[in-house]
Amino acid sequence: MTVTTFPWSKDRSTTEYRTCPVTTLKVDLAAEKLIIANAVAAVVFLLIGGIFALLLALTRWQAIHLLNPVWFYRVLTAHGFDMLVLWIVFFECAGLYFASTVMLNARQVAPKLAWSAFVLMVIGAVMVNVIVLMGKADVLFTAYVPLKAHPLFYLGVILFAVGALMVIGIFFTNIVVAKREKRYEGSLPLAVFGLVTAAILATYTLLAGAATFVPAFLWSLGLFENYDPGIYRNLFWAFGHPAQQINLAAMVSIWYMLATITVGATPINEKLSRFAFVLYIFFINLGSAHHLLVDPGLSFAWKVSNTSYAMYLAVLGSLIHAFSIPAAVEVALRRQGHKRGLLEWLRKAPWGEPGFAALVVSMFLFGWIGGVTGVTIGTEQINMVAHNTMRIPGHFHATVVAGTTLAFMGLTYYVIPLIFRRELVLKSWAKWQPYIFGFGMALVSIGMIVSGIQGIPRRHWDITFVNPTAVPGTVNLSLAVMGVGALIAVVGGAMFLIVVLASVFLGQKREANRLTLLSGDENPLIEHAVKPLTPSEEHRFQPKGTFVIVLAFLMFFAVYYFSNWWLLGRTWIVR
Amino acid sequence: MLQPQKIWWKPLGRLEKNWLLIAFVWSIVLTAMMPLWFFIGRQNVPATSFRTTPEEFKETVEAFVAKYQVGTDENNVPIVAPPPGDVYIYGRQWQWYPVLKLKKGETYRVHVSSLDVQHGFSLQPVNLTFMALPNYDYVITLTPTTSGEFTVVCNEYCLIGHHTMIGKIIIEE
Amino acid sequence: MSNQDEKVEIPKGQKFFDNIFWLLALSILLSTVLYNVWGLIELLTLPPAP
Repeated sequence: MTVTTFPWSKDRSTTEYRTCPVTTLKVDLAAEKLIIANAVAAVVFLLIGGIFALLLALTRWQAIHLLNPVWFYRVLTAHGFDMLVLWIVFFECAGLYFASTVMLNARQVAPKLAWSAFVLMVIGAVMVNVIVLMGKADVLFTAYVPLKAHPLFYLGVILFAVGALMVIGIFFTNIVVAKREKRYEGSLPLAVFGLVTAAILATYTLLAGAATFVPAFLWSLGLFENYDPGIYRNLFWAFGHPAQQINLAAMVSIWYMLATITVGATPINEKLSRFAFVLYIFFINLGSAHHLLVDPGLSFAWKVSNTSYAMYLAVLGSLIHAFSIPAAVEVALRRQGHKRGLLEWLRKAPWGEPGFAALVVSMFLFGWIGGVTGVTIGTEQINMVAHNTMRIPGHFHATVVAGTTLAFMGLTYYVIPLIFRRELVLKSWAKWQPYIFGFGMALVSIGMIVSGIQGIPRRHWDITFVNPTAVPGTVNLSLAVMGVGALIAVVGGAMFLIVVLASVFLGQKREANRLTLLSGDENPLIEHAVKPLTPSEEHRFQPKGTFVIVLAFLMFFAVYYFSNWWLLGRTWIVR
Repeated sequence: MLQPQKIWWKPLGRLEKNWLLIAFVWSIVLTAMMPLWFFIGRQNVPATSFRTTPEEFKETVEAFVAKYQVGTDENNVPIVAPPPGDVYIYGRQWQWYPVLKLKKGETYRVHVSSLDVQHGFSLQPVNLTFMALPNYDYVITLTPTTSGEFTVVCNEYCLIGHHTMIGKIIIEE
Repeated sequence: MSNQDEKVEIPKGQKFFDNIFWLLALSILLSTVLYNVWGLIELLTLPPAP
């Protein structure tokens, strides 16, 4: 590896970078170290959170009922925080460093500041975990006031959030500097723009987090008596749900990246894809209201305007990506020669390539289960039959786990040879892992949703305390489906962790010489000389197959959605 | 990876335009359903609330119980049989108080609040859930359409006794 | 990717989508006003129980 140094016009120090032999991108070595550190932290918390996931699933599976109530609620608190916040945010920070330096051939500004942000985040992360496991914060991830945790719980969350906000600031600075130093021409690449979307949403998220948790911290110290629960809920969900929308934007960006890496896809219309991201930027934070739909004190107008993301414009954004990404894949594969009929491209796609498997399984489960159920239960009136039932975790395990986590796992398989510069070992495991994990998580979601439709509450240690006439026997079956699905998903998760840890510690140290891991083409970026479509190519390679698939998706969506209005109509009269 | 073209602001292709239109129409349908149901649906989210305090609400509930109590259930919770109109329930760690005995087809303004932490008032197996928050009196205008014994499950975590917080509502014909 | 068409005007829409700081400002403004401020005002102006 040759290291070249950049002397900059203004700064006193020099930056070292290497040139990636596969992508020809310049990799700032300081950025590379930050990417690695954040990715490692992410995977560590995925492992811890994953162990907790297994314990929880084996408890809600009534036939097994593993943990006692004290430890169930405690582990539930830790699992929520470790997965929804730590695993995902550390991974996203690695992604932000990558997108604002490597993808732009640019340098990492203020590496020392970036490291202090990382240290703050780790300290906060450890503090929260320790205080929770010590039993001083059995308040669940939402920490709903007036439930009160030890002050160090709130302080840990605040420190983590401050560190993360610093990373967001550094990300934007990297981009501004890259533009000023003319490291790239024209607009940001689409995937970088998607991560800019994520960073914009993260800014609001973290400011809301500060507004929520700083008063909570002071309240826990006894500095004031009453923290109104309605106010807390408004502020908390301005942090809690946009945090998930960050994941959505990051996941969509990674879907575009995986499509490019595995089949050399390019966006069929940049304007359309960017428009979809802009819809997220303007409207998606409003959806936080869907946590407050059955709360006192709020009007129909407020609930409906916000839960609908302003006329479902943010949902329109997702529907656009749902078309654009498979369309890009289809056009890329049609260009490679697989152009017979509607779906030959799909049959001939590289299903054995880990990143492609992760892309498709993640998109499918996110959309068909996560997206459809989310919009449905986020409908004001329908929420009355869904709120705090297991339909909620059923929905979000399809989005955050089967969707986001699986997409992140898929990308990690490429980060290892390209950034960690280690040979990926156990490649055949990587090939199967997305399918196994996806299948397991699909069962988990479905088991939870079916339980929730029958009224079973979430965050609840033992439903058998409830009057038997209120709990149908079919609930035991759906909870068992969830339990079995969890076991399969844990196997899938373990496969990922083993492949990744084995590769990082035992894989051969070497420069990457190919982009894809297993499929025939070594570098779709170069092999298919990926250039934007010429007008005649655009005419020849139409994504007709994708169009049919998304129409089928919409029909499924409509059936599921309207069935829920029918379900609602069968309950008592209420206003 | 992959710089975009200098000018990427270009017209949409035919399939993209068609999908955008279809997806937009679906967004309109989704948006319209909620106000539509607001006017023609029989199940809508209650939007009447008052500010209160745990002490004040408890007093109101106790007065209500004193007026209409007809018995006590096996957990020593009073059973009240009020006429149609304002009825009151509080949730607290870890019970729902009192047990309501109501009539099918009659309309009640059910006032729900909490005396301590957040609770989830979840009526099963009807499957309707509303939040019971301290400081908020949430008025749910309810007309039971089926009779029998119904369970109130708490579905908002309220510390260690959460899963034992089970209440009852009886609907007579 | 070439600089041959230096003189071509970038469409306004493209420039707007490229303007990260306007996007950030509008995002925070819309979210804070429509979700936080409106919602908090509703909570804070609740009438007391009769």
